[in-house]
Amino acid sequence: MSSTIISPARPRSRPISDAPISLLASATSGEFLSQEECKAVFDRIVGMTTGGGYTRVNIISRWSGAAKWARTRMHVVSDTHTLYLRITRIIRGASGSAVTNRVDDDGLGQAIRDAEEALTVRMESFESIADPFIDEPILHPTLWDDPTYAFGAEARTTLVQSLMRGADDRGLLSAGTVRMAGDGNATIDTEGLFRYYPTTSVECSMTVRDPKGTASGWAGVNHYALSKIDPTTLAATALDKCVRMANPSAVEPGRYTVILEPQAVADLFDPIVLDPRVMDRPSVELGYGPFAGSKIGWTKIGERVLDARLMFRSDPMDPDGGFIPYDQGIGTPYQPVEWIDRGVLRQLAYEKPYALQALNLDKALPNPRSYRLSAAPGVATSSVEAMIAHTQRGILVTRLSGVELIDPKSMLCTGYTRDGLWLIEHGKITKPIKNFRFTESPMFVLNKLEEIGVPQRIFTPGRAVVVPPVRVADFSFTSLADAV
Amino acid sequence: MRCNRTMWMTDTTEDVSKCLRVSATMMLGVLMFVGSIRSANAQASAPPTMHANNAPLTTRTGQHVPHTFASYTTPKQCDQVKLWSESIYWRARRPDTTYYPRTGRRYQQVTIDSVRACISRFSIATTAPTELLGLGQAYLTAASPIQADSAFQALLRAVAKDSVRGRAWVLYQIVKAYLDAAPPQLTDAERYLTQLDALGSRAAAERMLAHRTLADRAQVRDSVSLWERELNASRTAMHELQGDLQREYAPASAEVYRATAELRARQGNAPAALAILDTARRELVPLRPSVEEILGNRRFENLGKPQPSVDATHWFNVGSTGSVRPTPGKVNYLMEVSLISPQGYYEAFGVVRRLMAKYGARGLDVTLMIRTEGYFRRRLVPADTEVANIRHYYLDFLKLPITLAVWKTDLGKRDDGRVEPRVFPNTWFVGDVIVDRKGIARLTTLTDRDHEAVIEDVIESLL
Repeated sequence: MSSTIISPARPRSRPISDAPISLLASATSGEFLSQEECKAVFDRIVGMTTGGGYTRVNIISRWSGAAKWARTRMHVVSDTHTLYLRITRIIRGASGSAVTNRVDDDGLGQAIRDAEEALTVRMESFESIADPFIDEPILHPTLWDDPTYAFGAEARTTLVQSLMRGADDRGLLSAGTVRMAGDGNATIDTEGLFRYYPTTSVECSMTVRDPKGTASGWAGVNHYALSKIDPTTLAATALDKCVRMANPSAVEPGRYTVILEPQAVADLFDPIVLDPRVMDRPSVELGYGPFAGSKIGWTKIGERVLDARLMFRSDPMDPDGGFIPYDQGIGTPYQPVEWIDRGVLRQLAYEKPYALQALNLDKALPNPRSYRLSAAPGVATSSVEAMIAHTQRGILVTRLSGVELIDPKSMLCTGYTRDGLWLIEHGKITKPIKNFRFTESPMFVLNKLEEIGVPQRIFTPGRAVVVPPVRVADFSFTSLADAV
Repeated sequence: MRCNRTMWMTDTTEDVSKCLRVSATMMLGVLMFVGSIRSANAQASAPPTMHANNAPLTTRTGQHVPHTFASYTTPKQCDQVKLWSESIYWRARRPDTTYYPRTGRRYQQVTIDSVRACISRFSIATTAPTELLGLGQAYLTAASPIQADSAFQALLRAVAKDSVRGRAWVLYQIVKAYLDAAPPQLTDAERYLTQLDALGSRAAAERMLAHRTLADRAQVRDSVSLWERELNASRTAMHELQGDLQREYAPASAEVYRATAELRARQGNAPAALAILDTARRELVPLRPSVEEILGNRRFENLGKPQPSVDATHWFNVGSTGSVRPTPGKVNYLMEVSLISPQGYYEAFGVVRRLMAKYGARGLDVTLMIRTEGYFRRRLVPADTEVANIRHYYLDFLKLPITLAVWKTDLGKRDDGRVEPRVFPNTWFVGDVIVDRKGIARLTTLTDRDHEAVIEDVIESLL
């Protein structure tokens, strides 16, 4: 196989209009490239290539409007236009790739020359096969929201000022980010593949701290539409957590019943999803990760790996967790898939060559890294308040940070708690406590499930993740931590 | 690297791992080449149109010219130029010159000129002692043996006051540099090897490694007497290892034992080969899993015994001898192939073509064994279509002068969805095998340029 060499991007020089556009307008220039503009860029690139062969262009074109504040003062309100254009050239099996952020002739020409020069040092393939291109349909989740796209700098400033007010009134410090974005992403090649999917996104996260730096509260979420989130409630939550975290006490580390809020659940579960090999079926069959079978060539598909009440799935059409319905690298569609159903491992991700060779299937099953973790249908759910009431002695965790994978076989991870940690005694929160370092595995934790809540969207920029709060037994905190 | 179904049958899980990684990577490369999505198409169809890439791709300047590599700051970097330069030179040649020549491995003149231009900025006098080894290697690549030797002499002077182990390691690196040169410089290597041997038992580990490296070069030439001599010397040094060094060098010691078993197999003495591996298992205790992998012995089990016949549902190009393989009265070369990673077999096919050109008329018969997988390249196809495509690929497209034995696989599925053959014939296959006129297996080997000399000599002796 010929691997690709990527040349460094050239400095951007293209002036871009500041005028916002609507998706429905047939604008020739604007915040990001439209479908027609992406096609026009692709056609120009193909016209400039030399040597024939195959060309693929990946375009990430983005307008991003952010408002950031720190220490309860507005820090920056910005509008950023980003263009990432990757040109891949393959001639007789030798491939080369280059990235650029320019769409003028000089910029594109330089990138094409870089890609074509890179492939001259790659080995060519002896054979090629004449094979007709057959496209595969994609799903069409709703990922665009006009009001989000139209939320300009003034509106962002006004919003942030309102978010800061509560902390400022209490003499506390706040910091955070509100960011809106509109993306026009395209994957086009000379074989006939054409994918273009405009999306909007909004991210809102906020931290409130006391001036002494001993108490901290955080809240955040991301979605495709501003109407799907409630920044005011987020701000109130962060403020409330900070206030309730005042004067934390030190408690002995050890094993506790813990209630993990949704963000903490995702922080712990993400290594399973984000490690490229844990859910990759060929890697798992070679023995990597917690889903590997007892001998080489086998997986735990068909075996129970998590609590029987849990379901773990990915679906581009998820009403709360929709995402772009194809792999933006080579255009492979994402289909709804249940990775784990009632605790039983059902599927692992794989590419098309593996599908053909090992499964006698002709479709890939890629991992989109967006997911929903929830109670299986028919399973009773609980609220965080109810979980607290059911806890004799435990700890309520807002989020985890610095999560590092120690052992991929068991998924043992370490990290620390932050931004809100409370002791629960006799069904009530009694006091804030100092943060801990934990050493735990999501595989262990989600097999010691006591209660599960209703899943909600959490803060994972660039992805759509929906997870529930959970109450689990014997969560291991190994030491106190200096984290706030 | 070849990857075929019988890799699963070996006792080296590392090979299996490499097999799956390489096959996945190479198939991904095939997929990336197309860059599109296919849907299932189960209809029988004519064999796909295959194209041979005959036109070389020129560089931007239209020719491959020496490069000065002015930005390189060490002599070792200059020596690495050879990898890039040879790759550029060979990349666009067709059909089987994509790979380096069989023996000798001489670099192209443009490579030599490039390295010369690069190291012209360095001199022995101004090069730090830590870079002298790289300088000597670069001089060897640049076909400047006198300067290479001067660099190595300077290096030895620089380490003259070091410990015995330190000097031994440097001498081993010098020996290795001569043996890694293209072509290998055996006389010079032996000269420094003599100095290494003179360091005695405290240099046992380095002596073991150096003699083993020389034995490998002898194997490539099928120089049996040199091969035997060097392995004996390597084993002598191995037995001088003491204490922690024995444990530290256990995998390397296992390699020496295995190389000796290969030599015995080459000499037609399968029982001796197996006995050596048993000895190794007794001596290299505690037997670590990694060491046990190295000592896997399935490749020697069938030597000296009647070769089981090849099972196939379809035979092509059988000639006048019919569809029985091994063919009585002929020397047979049985080789398993797979379309999982077709590029990995080009080197082997080059060897096969040369063998048939040399020995085909004298009674050599080469049979390729393959089984259907349920797909051909990027599409699911019915088994009959796949058989037709396989025949077309090996006989019409590659035009290999071989007999093709195809097993039409009846695929079943495991509970986890993975396909597996319900019946798997030819389970005896553990490597490409040479069978004599009486049907006795004489050698199990790999079909590549490193083993071509051995294969030729064995076939020659059997014809």
